[in-house]
Amino acid sequence: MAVYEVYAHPALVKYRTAVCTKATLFVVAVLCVTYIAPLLVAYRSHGFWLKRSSYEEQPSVRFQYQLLLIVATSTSGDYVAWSTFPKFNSLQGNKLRIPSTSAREEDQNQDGKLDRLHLLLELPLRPEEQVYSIQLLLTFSYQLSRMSSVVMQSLLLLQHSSSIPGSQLFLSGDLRLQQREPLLHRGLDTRYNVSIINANSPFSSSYDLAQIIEMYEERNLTTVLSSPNPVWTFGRAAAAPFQLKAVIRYPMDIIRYPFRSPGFWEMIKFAWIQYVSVLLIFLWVFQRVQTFVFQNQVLPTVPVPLLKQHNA
Amino acid sequence: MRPLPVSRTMAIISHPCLYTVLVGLLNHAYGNVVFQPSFILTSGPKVTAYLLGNNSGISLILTAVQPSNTTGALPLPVCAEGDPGQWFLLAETVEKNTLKVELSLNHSLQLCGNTTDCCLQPLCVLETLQVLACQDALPRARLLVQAQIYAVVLPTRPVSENKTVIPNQAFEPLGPCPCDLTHGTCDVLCCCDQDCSPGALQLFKSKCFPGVFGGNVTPAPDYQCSVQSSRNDPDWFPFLCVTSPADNSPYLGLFFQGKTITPRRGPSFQSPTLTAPLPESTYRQGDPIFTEVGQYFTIPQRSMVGQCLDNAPVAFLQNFQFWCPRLLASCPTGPPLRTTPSDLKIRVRDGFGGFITVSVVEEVAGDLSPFVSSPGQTGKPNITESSLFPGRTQASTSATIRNQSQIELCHNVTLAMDYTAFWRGNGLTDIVLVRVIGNVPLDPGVFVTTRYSAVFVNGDASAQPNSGNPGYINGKPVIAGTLDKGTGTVQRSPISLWQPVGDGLCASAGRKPVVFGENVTAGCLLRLAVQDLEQCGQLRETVRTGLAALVMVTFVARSGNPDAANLTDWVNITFVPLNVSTASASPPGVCEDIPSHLNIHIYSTEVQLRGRLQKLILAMEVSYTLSTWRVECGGGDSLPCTQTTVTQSFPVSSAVTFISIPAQTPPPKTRFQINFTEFDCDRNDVCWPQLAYPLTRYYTGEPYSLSLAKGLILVFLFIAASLLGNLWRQICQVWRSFWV
Repeated sequence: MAVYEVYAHPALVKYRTAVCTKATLFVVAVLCVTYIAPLLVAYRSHGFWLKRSSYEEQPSVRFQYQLLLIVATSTSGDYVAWSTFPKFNSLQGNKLRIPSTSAREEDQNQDGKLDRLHLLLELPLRPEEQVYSIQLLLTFSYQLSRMSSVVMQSLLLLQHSSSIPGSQLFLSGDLRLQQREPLLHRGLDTRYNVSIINANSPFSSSYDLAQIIEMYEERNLTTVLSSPNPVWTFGRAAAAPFQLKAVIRYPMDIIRYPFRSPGFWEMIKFAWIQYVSVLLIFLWVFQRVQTFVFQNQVLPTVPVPLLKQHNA
Repeated sequence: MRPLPVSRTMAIISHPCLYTVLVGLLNHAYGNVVFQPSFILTSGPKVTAYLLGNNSGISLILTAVQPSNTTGALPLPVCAEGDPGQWFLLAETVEKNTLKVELSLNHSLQLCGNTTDCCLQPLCVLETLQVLACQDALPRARLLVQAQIYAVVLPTRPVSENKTVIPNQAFEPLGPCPCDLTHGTCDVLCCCDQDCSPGALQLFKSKCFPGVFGGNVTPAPDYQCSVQSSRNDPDWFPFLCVTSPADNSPYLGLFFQGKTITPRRGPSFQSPTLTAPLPESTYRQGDPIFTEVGQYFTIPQRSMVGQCLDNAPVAFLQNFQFWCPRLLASCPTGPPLRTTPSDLKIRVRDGFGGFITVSVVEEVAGDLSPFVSSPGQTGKPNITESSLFPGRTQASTSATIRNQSQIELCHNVTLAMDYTAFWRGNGLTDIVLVRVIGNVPLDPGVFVTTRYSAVFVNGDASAQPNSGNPGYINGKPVIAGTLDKGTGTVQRSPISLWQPVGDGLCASAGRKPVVFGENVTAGCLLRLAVQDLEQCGQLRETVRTGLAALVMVTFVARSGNPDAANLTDWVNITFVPLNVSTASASPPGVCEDIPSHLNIHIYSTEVQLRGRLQKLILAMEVSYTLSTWRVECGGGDSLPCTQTTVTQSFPVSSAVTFISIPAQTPPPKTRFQINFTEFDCDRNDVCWPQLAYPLTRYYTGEPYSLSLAKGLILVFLFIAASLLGNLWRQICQVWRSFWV
């Protein structure tokens, strides 16, 4: 009749020794190596402590309905200008020309965050005036909320110039965040929630575009219009206005976030994952080593005879 | 008279006034009668035309005519009574010589239902009518009417109530077709529009509006078996499906139940509120300066992208200088190019409760070249005129005015307005305006550049500014000077660089001071001919003195605020002597060892003074770089070699280099220090001090106390877990074995 192994179970063998013996020293050493070595391995192989990370978020952007428009109407320096800042307009004298401006913000996917801005600006011009260059400043309020709550005012400069007079400028682009430093991993960040253009200033220096842009670019968080393909259309009818059509989308942006370091538990969590995965290997290896050493009596110990197992 | 097209004629009929004019004209033109218009396309049950001309004895005959089957032509007009068909004719005299002819359909346009007076098919009337104006049985005028009239389709349900009955939204969608925008009309591409006839739907059935706005508000839900087969899903997905009538839509229950949220008011184009400026009693920095009448005190300034604003307010204690180029099309008659001293003598609030008047000093511009630029003037250098350093030969002023007798001159054009405001405390004590005027030739395309500046001066305007206290500030001029033997003090004078203007010749070049911390190079050109290169020794001396004029000093200040009497504040400038071999005889047109480049090396350091790092100058060295100047006449242009007076350009330049010397140089690092980075966390990502990173001072994501507390909690948990397990039993055994 064939005999086969019908069942197997491990039997617990205990080894006893005195405190000051080689076996105690061996066990303590193995214990240290088993638990400390994985830490060293994980740490020295880079990336143990999470220091930089990034996430994706669609900002909630609102157009602030503030515009500043400068249009060169001849090659010899004539221009017309307009803005939503009354002090700027009063500086312009007879160069002021009010365009008809329409702005519409759309939430296309109905998620509560606006997705795009349609801007149409029609600037009336005299028949002898031609448009050679256009500069338009738009201000937005920009908010992020997933990790650090960032509330800031941001700026877009739309500009184009051509040696050929145009009738229309079409721009379609994305509002992109530019980070000079990563954001904090939590907390409220209102450093840049201040107006970029001082609308209450009567001085001409407040509306100097170079100054405005210089001060804006000093910030660590700015927005830019990434519109690689502006279309400048020639040939304006005598009585037709100059048109600026812009579609500015507010897409998802990748945000680098732990400015100094991520939160404590986030770091511990990622470190723990790495530590334990290395620890398992060490546990397995040194268990085998210990079993070999004690089973074969490499170090003298007193094996406790196999007792009948009681169900504790 | 040009015959009017039909469509326009019909439009005119609706304007009686215009028509009367037309009638008069036509009456004048024709003695006979005429229908106006004489051909009408109608799609309604009423047609109006006018018979113009002497209509006494005219009879109107209405007949329905059929075009010939073979030729398609209408029969010839014959003044015989015919069948008027379903139309009747009404004639009415509007005024003398004008008869209004009106044709009306004598039955309703409803589609036949239960009534008899109706249309049998949708195209109710399709016929051609002819109205003849007969006189003495002869046709005098003919009116043709092409009638193509469709039946009126009325709603089948009674429209008794004014209110729209809103169905229960739980069982019937409220807006089943959102793209049905026009009531009673088939909206193109809106396939759910009930007004669209099946024929119309055929036209655009493949291009229906998609989604919600296409009226497709009850798409079949995902669980329907019919959806499953139409998708690209695997056949087992979804595992189960439901077969139910399309009326059981889950979207039916989705309707507005009366809950409202107040919308957050977003920004919009705000109505501009322009507040009048409020003059304050005293001035602080940045406050606008006001005139006596409470308006801004303005000076033209540049702003935006370089445009000049004529009425820009001036801020207290803010200096500026702007250049405003303007195209001079005609002689100016008013500001800003034409100003009178009386206009400029403005009374300004001084900030102490009183007023000061701007005092105007007039100057006439001697040289117009900084102010007037004309594209017509070509400053082509004279090729036979040598040009050296300023003061040596005549500089060729390129902006010489052309023959002035032919060109109209604009007199007394304002070319510069330089305001100097003296201030004390919170107010102004005096404002002086230096106005530069000149006579500008009115040339087509001439640009007049006007300079506007304002400087606020407190106390002595001639006081020399320092460049730091005590260390130098980056961007401030380096202070230098020469020792005045008589008084024993150092007289300040600047170290300069060339500031080339225009054509870049040294003769016309200006100078700019050397500023601390900025490495600069600048240069200019000399124009020399072969004859100038004959005397090399003299040329060397000329170039050397020309460059040495940039550094006409012997001392440079150690710090930014030197004491003129204290020589320890000043450092001697080292001049490296020129090592020139004078004996060498060079061929004609070649000069060797010309000191054409001036090197200024300034050694600076940073030392701890008064609690912070201050920048000081330790030494300054001036040296020359020698080069060989040779008249080049290769490349086909042999003129400079053959003619001794034809000139070529030779560059002279100077450069300033700042060399920062550390106050205490650290000992050089050994190779072991360079390579051993185990404990240098700046150079090693896995340095040992950051092993327990969140518990170290390196970690700044959270306060140290907080991360320490969290770390201790973790350690406590680990210790507790390990003690309560096997280890605890082992320790207990050891403990017992000791005591037993």
